[in-house]
Amino acid sequence: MESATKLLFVSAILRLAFFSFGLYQDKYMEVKYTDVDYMVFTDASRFLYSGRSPYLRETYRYTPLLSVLLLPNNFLSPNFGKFLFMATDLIVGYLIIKILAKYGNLTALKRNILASIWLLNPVVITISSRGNSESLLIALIMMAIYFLLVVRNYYLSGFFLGLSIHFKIYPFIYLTSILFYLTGQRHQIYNLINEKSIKFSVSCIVTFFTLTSIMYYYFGYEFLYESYIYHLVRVDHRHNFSIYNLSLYFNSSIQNKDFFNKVESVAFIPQLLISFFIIPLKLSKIDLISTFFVQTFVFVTFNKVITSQYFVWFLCFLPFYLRDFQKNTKSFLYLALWILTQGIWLSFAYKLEFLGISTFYPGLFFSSCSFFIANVLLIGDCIDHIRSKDLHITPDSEKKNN
Amino acid sequence: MSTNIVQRTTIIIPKSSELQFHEKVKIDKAYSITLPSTIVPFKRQDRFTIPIARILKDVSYESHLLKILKDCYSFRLQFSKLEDYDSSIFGDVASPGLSVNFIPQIADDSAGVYETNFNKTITAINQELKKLLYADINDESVLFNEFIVTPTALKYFEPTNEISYSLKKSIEDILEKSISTDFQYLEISYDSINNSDKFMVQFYWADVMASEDLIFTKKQDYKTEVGIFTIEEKLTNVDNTGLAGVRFVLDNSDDIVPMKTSFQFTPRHRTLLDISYKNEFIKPIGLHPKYKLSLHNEKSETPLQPPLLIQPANLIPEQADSTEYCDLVNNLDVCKLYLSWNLPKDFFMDKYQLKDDRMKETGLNLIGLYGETNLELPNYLIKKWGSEALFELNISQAHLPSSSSSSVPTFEIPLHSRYSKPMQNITSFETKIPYPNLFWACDLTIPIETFTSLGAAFIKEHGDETSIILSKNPYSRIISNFEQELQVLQKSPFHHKFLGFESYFDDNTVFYHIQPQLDINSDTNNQKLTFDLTIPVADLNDFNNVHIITLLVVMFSGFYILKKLFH
Repeated sequence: MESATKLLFVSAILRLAFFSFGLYQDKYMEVKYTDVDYMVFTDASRFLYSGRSPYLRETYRYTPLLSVLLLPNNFLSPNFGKFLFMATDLIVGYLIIKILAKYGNLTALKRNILASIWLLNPVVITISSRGNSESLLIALIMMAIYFLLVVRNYYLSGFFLGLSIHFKIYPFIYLTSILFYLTGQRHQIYNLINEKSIKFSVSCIVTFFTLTSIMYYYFGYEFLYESYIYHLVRVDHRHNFSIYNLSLYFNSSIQNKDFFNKVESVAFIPQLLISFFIIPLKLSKIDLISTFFVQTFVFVTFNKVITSQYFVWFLCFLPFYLRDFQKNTKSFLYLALWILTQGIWLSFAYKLEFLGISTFYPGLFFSSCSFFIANVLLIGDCIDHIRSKDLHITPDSEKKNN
Repeated sequence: MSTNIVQRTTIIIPKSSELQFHEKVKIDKAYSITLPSTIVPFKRQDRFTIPIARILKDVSYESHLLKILKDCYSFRLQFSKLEDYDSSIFGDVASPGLSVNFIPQIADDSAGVYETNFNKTITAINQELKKLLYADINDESVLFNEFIVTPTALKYFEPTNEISYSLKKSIEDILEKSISTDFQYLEISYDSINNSDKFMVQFYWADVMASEDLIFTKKQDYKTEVGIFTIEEKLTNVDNTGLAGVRFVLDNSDDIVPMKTSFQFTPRHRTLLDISYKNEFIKPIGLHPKYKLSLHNEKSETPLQPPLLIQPANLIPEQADSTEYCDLVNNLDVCKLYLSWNLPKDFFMDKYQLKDDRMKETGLNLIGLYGETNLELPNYLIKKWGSEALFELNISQAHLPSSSSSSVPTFEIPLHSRYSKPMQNITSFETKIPYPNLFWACDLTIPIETFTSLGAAFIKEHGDETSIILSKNPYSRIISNFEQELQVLQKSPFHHKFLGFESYFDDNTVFYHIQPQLDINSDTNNQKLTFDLTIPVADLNDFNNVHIITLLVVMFSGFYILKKLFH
């Protein structure tokens, strides 16, 4: 058996093992294994199955397409969705191996080790086997990358990216990177309009609008509100990793706000400016997938809400980023800081959530600030790493520094 | 038709002090009776029945209560102290706190304006309710929680231990006399559907220590009945209360004479004295408080069920084997255990979590959850007072803690707290949750129907046998017993189709309430019927620091990243 097949086989076995343990935990243990969101999808698909709107389930904030995909939960097995998510999770791993093969300088062993960051990652396995849908979304994005870089079918690539944006708005940040990447030659940003980019963007836009129109036709404003608008107007008062969290909690309780206190309404400016414009502009031609990695990292770091499942959004690009990474103390220290600050935040959050102690300030606040800074340091490090690969830029800047 | 207000005062004194008490009653035949001040505590219930025409005739009343009544088909306000008291005799049982249930009367004159009228009426009632319950505060900033919609009425609730001055004043205007507010229970009800012309106000004192003489005098347009009773043990059991003593009638026509009286009455709401429940929140209490309730019997042989079907031996048909009969009776699903709970908006229940199969496996079956059930919003974005939950508890499925030797059915209900408004210098927001009501609801038609069909089957089977002469159903005595009880309940002058949790059950239902177990460690005499919980909040003093630091960190980080990209 080929080594990649072996890896996938082991990965599948691991997922089944986690899944089976989940069945046991759900039945006999106090805390359930199955993700609360899985119950939400299941309920929503049950409504759909009985001919009603999936939005009858409170907190269902996804496209109706997700409940369509989960319809077999109602007649085949209530675990169908978990198998679907575990399967898409394996597809992501398979695509990672396939896309890595594009880089000729990597040995099969190295490719497998890199793919293991995803395939054998207990966090990833847990998330999909608990019934979280993130892996489905990641698979769509990976398909877009696979068709873009390996197959070079720009229609299909655009189709998958459009589909992923329909699923969860944020993948639109990859649009700019791909368009810059498709300009081909360096320093020709005016060359944004070309055959490849037209194929890609038309396909992407048509897919997104067709799907969204179909869903709007069948499910109306409720679909638009719950899937998209809600995310723009939501009150994120509950504690989470985001640096904005405490500000948002304060602001949500105040009726008359002056401009200074409207953090939530300007938070998207640095977030989008950096992740949607500047990073694609500066990095996408050097290393497209590593650019995705940094973009997503920035997007999540500067977001108004951060929960640990968002980390999967950039974790899937990590194998590509690390393929030519040289071990160094600085990166290691930043990573250690990232883990440490997260740990500190979690300990304050535990005290708040389970012991009822008010740790909002200074505990939670400063630990989310520290976590934010750790993220930013890592982002800086990643930018350095990607830029160091650009032979044309590095000598220039070295000259300047001299 | 008489426009008199009828006042019926029932005083229940302990048997031991009966003679002593009666000796001291002073009667002025033409004018009044005086009850002695006493060191013996007694129970007292006052029930006023007022013809509705009498109170609604005078429109110039600035009474918020009357303004609400005019807009309602049915109205029921119940106030029950947040402290434990003995409510077993009269069956005046309500959730601890102040509950108002009402059905608005919507003018529906012309087509198309129903919705407008509805909104107008609802807004008006809400305004008046606010003024009634919050002592005429016109200040708009006073936060008033709006009512919720339940399947049978609109409902307002507040876990308060006092009534407002405005409410007291409204009652005094209606009764045309002053009242003291040291009662444990107050009920105001009006039902234009079933009891159209009567308006009722009722007070109950569980433990009166009269330090002064109690004087009842004749009054214009008033008919007052005063009864002084002791409990007649022979006529009293869990289902019935027997009273014996003297009664006085004070009206303008006759002299006041003592009348010996004894009677038995069957309340719809009964109290089980041999069973109690213990409840608590499992510590530590975080943002997801877990409520734990366990049922206890005083003696291990006492069944946890109401003794509804434990019939006197002479009712068991001679043809039936007595053990067979007992088995049969035990398997009849006549009574079900319910928990009804008013949950202030600082907390919520997750109906999806509660409807999960695993919850049902622990004996917890959510029947209804009404009101504010949003799973995400903070309490300051919630407009209504909270939510009402009704659970059916299944004892046979309940969790039995292995640690205790006896079987103590235990139930756990997960709650969630909402985020609360940040406040100056405060990091925890103090709030209250009232105790729930725990009761058995028994459907009397079930034994009637079961025994009727059993009897029919018996006749069919044994009808040919000459040895048994069957003229009628062998269970007829049991059946007629239950039928009689139903009749008594339906004819009872106190009965009308009430609002509140009773309204979720039909007229054939009797309730057996279970009381909370007293906390022996409690310092005060009165056991509180509320849980004091705190919700962690942010201190508003940190507001500026948080904003400035957030802004600075984000700005510098942004520049750092830009520098990395452009240097």
